[in-house]
Amino acid sequence: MRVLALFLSFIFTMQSLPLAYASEVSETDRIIVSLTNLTHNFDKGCVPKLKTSYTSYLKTHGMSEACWKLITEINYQEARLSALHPQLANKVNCATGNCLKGTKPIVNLPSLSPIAPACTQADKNRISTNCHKDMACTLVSSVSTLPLTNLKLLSPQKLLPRGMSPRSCSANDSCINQVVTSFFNSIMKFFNNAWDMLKIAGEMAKDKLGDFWTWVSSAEDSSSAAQLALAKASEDDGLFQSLKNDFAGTVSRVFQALVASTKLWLKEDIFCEKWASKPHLSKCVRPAQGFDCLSCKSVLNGICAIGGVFISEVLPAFISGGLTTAAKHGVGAASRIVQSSFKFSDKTIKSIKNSKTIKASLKIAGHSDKTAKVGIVLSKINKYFISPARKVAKSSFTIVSALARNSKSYLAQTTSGKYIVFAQDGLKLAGKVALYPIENNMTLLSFKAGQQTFDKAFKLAVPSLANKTSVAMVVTAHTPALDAILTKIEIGHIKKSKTLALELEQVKILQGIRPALTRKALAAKKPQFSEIIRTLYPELDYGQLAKKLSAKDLLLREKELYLHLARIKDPVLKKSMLAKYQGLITDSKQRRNILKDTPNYKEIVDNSQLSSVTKGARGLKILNKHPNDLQRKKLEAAIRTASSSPASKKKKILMDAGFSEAEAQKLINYGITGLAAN
Amino acid sequence: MKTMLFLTLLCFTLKVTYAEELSSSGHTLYVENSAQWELAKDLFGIPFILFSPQVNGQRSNISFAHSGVELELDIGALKDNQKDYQQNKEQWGKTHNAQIMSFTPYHSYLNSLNHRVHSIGVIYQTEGRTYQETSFYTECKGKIVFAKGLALTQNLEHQKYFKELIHSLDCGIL
Repeated sequence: MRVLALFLSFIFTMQSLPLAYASEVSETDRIIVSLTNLTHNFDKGCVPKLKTSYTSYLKTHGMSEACWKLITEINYQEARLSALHPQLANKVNCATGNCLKGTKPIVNLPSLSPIAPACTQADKNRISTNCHKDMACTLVSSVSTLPLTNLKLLSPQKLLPRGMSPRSCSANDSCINQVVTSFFNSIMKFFNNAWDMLKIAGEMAKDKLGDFWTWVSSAEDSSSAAQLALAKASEDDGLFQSLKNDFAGTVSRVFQALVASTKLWLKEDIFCEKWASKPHLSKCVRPAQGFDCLSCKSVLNGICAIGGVFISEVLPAFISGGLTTAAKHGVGAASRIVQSSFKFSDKTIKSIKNSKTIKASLKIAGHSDKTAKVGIVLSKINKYFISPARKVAKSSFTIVSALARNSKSYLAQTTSGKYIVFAQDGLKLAGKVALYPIENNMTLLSFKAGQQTFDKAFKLAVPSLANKTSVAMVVTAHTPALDAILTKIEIGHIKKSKTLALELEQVKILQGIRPALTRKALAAKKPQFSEIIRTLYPELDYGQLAKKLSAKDLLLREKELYLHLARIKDPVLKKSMLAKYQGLITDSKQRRNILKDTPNYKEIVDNSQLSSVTKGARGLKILNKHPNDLQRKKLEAAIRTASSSPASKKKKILMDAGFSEAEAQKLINYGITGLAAN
Repeated sequence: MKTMLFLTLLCFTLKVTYAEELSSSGHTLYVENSAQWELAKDLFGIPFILFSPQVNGQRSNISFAHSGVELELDIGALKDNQKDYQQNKEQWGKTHNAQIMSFTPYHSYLNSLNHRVHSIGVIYQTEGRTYQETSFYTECKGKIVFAKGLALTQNLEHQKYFKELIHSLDCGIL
């Protein structure tokens, strides 16, 4: 919000127009969009938000090759910008990134008239026609920046009108992104996030939680609103089916209706110029002027100004009161939606009405719809140069350059990529790391993005392995022969080269000593499941090594490991290990590729412990059988009977009920009829 | 002998109904969906919702979700503090244009598979229709499974069916 306010203050002081040529304008625009994206990506992905200086962080964590490339690309793009606008040279060369003092703009912008321009009926029609495209673009641009969103559900093809390409959408600013993100979170993940607070409370309470009803209020609220919306939607079967079968696909239409409703609400309620009698409770006889000349994107700018109220009050009310109407009728239902859903306290109405930023942003947005593109581009330059993201990127560059000049540099090769690091001691890179000392240190400073990779730019000395885990330490201390082989395998993994021969050697060394080593490894400090697999059960990674072994051997190893885990005494460790076993072994796709649908021992144990009522349903699911009702009841009953019968009679009972011999054997193998036969 | 066995099995199955498997992120729940209500997934982020056929103009619905929360609930505290639930519902009513009519008191019981269920509810009116909403918090192997049924008050059969579903809830594989 602070950046937005600063940005607005620039616009009020705009005076002259230094850009003259259209080609320069569009080139500048392209560079600024690119720089905004680059610095945004650097800020989000390269350094965490720190309370202290970045120097110590970069000293211990280094910088990834990808981030270093971002920085060099930023420098390159800024140099291009500076060539187009020589007055920017000092700012571009300001290496700390902290180049702007106070609120003085870097580039002056054209002045705007304080009176809203009139727009013709043709303008109004154009704005109205473009609204759905604008909003769809806004959704696509925002959603694609969300790392946590399931992009399959929200593909541009689903959100954009037919025939429109995502490339024709420009990036949104962060405020619009925030509003759109809130909208999506509210609709798509309305309910999921509700449990977060209760999880925290549960962890804090450990035992019993007294004020449970308070902690579940968020989950209660969201489920009540969502289920009420669905009950209302079910009154119309067409709408109900479209929500049920294509929930994400209806979102675009809903979003347009939300923005249209908000526009109408601002025009005929919040900023109504004359009421029939009591304000906000009677009819608005003179709606605010100029709103029909505002594009939908401009209205979103206005919504940004009241982001807090919009997210906390407008959205929840819209979901329970207006969502189904919006999904059914789209923008045409704006008036109905406002009447049924936009009901807020006097306090809220007053705070929006008195908000200087919403008035300013709506007025300015209205002008900018008609203002030459040059003004917008210049305002983007100002906005970019004062952005916190740029400051982070430029400061980081300065720090890393200084470190490269003054200390020994290493290329750290890790599973998540290559890093430039500067201190071997106290290095805080996660996972396995191979460190290669860089012999030509100064090359780092002349490294150019897109032209070279680290490997080609630097002369590297002999590597060593850093960050040994507790499990690896225990295992290699007991069996030193494993140390060298594990180091070779690890470097092979990091370099993504073949390690099969080394793994076969590892298995040979483990012969006969695996149970003892597993017990020791599980007793190590905070043992990790992945480390147990890497050091002691490499075949359960289901890679090339597993393909060389027989299914019988693999199943034996799985059972052996499961029994080790089941015997862990620490309940927290046991639970976490079994959960990892479930995720990395039971649910592993690689395992399925090798062992097809052969059950592992944990699945067998889990199935054997199901209640008798549900064993039948699970059994039929495993066999992928979909019989008619009568047949199904008969087969499920047979499964239950077989479960409580001796091992010798199970197969016969199942076959008598109609299962084939292979099906009966499969049910027994999966533990559906009990654990005894396994 | 074969006929006898078949008849025994058939008699036993007469009581058995349709077990609906609700699988999400490696967790599996089972409920006996004897009326075979329609299942929908991931609406508003709710993993599972069963919908009734349309009766009195609307479909009733019941949601199911693994909350992922590990917690042991205290019956005494839940009963004593149910005012908190009621106050929250009053607040919800104000922001969602709904008038709270009455509350269904907190109740705790064991379902058919010995899982502890904690239920509580509210009756409210909105847009001229009256709804009964019941929340069910089931303790499944130390974790909380959430379910909520919503039906028009005149759809009494659906309210009964919510209870039957919860009564049959099997925590399955968590």
